[in-house]
Amino acid sequence: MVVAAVVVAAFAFTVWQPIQVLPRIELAPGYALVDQRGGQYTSESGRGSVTLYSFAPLDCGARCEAADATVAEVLQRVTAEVDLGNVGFRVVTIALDPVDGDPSLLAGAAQRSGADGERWRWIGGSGERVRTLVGSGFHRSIAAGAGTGGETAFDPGFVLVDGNGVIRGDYRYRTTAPDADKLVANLQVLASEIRNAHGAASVAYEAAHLFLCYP
Amino acid sequence: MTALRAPTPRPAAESARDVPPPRPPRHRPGALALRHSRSLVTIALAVLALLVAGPRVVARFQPHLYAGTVLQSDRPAPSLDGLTFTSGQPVSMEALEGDVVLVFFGYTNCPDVCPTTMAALARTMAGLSPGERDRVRVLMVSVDPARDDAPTLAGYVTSFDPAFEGVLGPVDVTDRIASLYGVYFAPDDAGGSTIDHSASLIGIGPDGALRVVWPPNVTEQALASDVRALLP
Repeated sequence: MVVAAVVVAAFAFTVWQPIQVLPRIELAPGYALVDQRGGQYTSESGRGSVTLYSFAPLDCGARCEAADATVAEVLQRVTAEVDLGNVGFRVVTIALDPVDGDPSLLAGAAQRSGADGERWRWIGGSGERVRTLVGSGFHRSIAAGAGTGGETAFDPGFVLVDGNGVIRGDYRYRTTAPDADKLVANLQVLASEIRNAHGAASVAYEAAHLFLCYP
Repeated sequence: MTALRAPTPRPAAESARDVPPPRPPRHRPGALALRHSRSLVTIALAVLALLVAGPRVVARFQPHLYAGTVLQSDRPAPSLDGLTFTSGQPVSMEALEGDVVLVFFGYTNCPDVCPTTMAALARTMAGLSPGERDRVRVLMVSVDPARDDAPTLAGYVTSFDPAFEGVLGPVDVTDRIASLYGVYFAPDDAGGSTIDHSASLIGIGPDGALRVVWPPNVTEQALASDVRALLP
């Protein structure tokens, strides 16, 4: 009887999804890079805040217009539509070109994209470090000079990381990058978990992860 | 005299007036009460069984609530190729499979979080049964290979627990591997001798997948409970 109740509960949880959660996909990579102001920015700098990562060459131009517009819209709507409680939210764009010792390159790219340096900042480092970080850590392809015009070819999109440094969403350009609605909706799901998954309610959230997210 | 006869059964549809006579009660009131009593006893026994067995069944199927953050990918933990134990033996992920492996990135000159974490790990291990301890390995990967040579690192980790193992390698290899474990390290901004680094504790399951990440302030009781849940 109890087993049947558990089975029915599991079925109901899976079908009706009374609590929605974003999966805890994997650890976001650790790094220590510089930001557009010349200061060190590390994976620990975003600890405790929700971070939306994007990836772009310094001279991205028209190729990044849609993604930049999406980021701007998300930043605007998060303030009005997403209640993250005391948890902060920021966007970090990782420059795919090397910026060894020259943060002005980052500052220029940030200005062109509209990044204010606070809620949206650009970070970068040496070519090898960034290639390892983006390729092995965020699982995105990056090839310097491989574009049709000799520009850096890359796999644009977004990665959503929670305050514990865990990847909660991975968005590829062709499907969701221009879609601020999806990003805001997922941020609302994450915000709900951050606000509510405490005490007894954490059991329900863990059940949701168990039923909805495990492979 | 006309003999009384029971009415001949007729098809129900033959006449609406053919209403069958009322049947006598099949059971006497005493028998009915007995049946009700039996039903009540059955229900009471079922409730009792539910009360006794229910919590055990629920406990059996209830997932463990981890104090750390549970990762849900079955992807294998990043390889530690290129790193060696203080004995000089290369670290092999295959050799670690079957055990729960707790990985911490630190260094021997670390003034605060490293000794605190290593001491907490030692207390955690002390709280496990001998059988459990045999299936848990604790690795500290040095983020300061320039100063942490093998004897120094071995002496440091075994001072907390003789079973703890030190791991080290070239700084570029360590940097790449640490990044994949969500860890960064870099010389501190002030230019001193300390190294800034992430202080998370990472748990690899017996299947070789990254399973749990704990914050530096996790208590040894919570950690021990999580480690037990990771054991096969």
